[in-house]
Amino acid sequence: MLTTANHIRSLSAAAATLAALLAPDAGAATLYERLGGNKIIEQVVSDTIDRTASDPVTRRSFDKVNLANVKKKVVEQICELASGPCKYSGDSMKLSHQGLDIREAEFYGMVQHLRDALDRAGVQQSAKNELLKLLAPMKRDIVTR
Amino acid sequence: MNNQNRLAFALWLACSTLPPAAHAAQLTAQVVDPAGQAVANAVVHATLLSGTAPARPRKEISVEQINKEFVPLVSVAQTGTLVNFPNRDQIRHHVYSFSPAKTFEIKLYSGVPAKPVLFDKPGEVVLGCNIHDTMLAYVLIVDTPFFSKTDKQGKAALDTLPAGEYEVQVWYPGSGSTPAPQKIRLGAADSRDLKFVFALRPQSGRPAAGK
Repeated sequence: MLTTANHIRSLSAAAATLAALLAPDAGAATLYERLGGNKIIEQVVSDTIDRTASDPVTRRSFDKVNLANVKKKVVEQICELASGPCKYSGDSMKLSHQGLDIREAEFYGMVQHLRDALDRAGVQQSAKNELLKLLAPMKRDIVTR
Repeated sequence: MNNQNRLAFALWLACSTLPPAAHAAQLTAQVVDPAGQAVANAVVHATLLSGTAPARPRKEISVEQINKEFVPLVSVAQTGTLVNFPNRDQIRHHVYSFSPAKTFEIKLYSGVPAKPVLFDKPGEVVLGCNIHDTMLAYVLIVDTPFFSKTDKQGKAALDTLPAGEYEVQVWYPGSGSTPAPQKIRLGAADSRDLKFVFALRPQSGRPAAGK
């Protein structure tokens, strides 16, 4: 039988848990966590790559490419960039895009697909913008004209 | 010595320094399907059953990457051969194999020569690219120095063979049923024509385009 003291303790514990669950963008959470962890990142990357590889504006550089392998690497890359528990094991952006002659229109086309995928996955705007800001410097190594 | 003797001596000298025709046997193989149509890209290899085959220096071979394809589709080399993978494309490739005869992977960047890979075990090595999954090639490694690949007419020629008893086999990429090997005996300067018939027309070995 619950005593009054125990009753108060268990209610407090419940309240604290509820508060933590409802707290928006708790200061200590990493971008990885705020994006939704691996599950969401995998979903977003898969969605982005699928659309980029079929969109006539952006699909050229994905011709004959094994998409599953690319997705794995991009998930690693984003996970690490967002302070998640991953280590990117792929090539640098310069090396992996060498010879592909990526144009600005193609790059921005893919960025748009990524934005849409993040929205579709229900990622909060602040986390989405933070991720895009972290990815932006890669343009220099990816776009050659 | 008078002139006649000199001439005789010179002739004798010339003849005695001619090597005996010890490695002058040859065989040609015609490989066909059940309808008699030529089978190209089949490897014909002959193993000397009596005694040991003379050691031949291993010549390096290359499997190039051109337009997101491996060229040639089929290669054959003797155990202990170095295989090069020159990337002729502007983009990178990442060749790999899980075959027991040679499991390896190398990143191949455009314009960056990579070290050749030593294929030191006999067997079939299937090559792929981690980036472009339609890329496919085969390297057959054999213990014998006597081998050749059939051309578009389904013909392969093996020459400079030493006299002896041979088992001649046919290999085809990814093929489950190959023609039965043939045992032959070759004299020092013999020339033999063999025919190998597949029970079923073998598939081309190249995967269908697209994914």
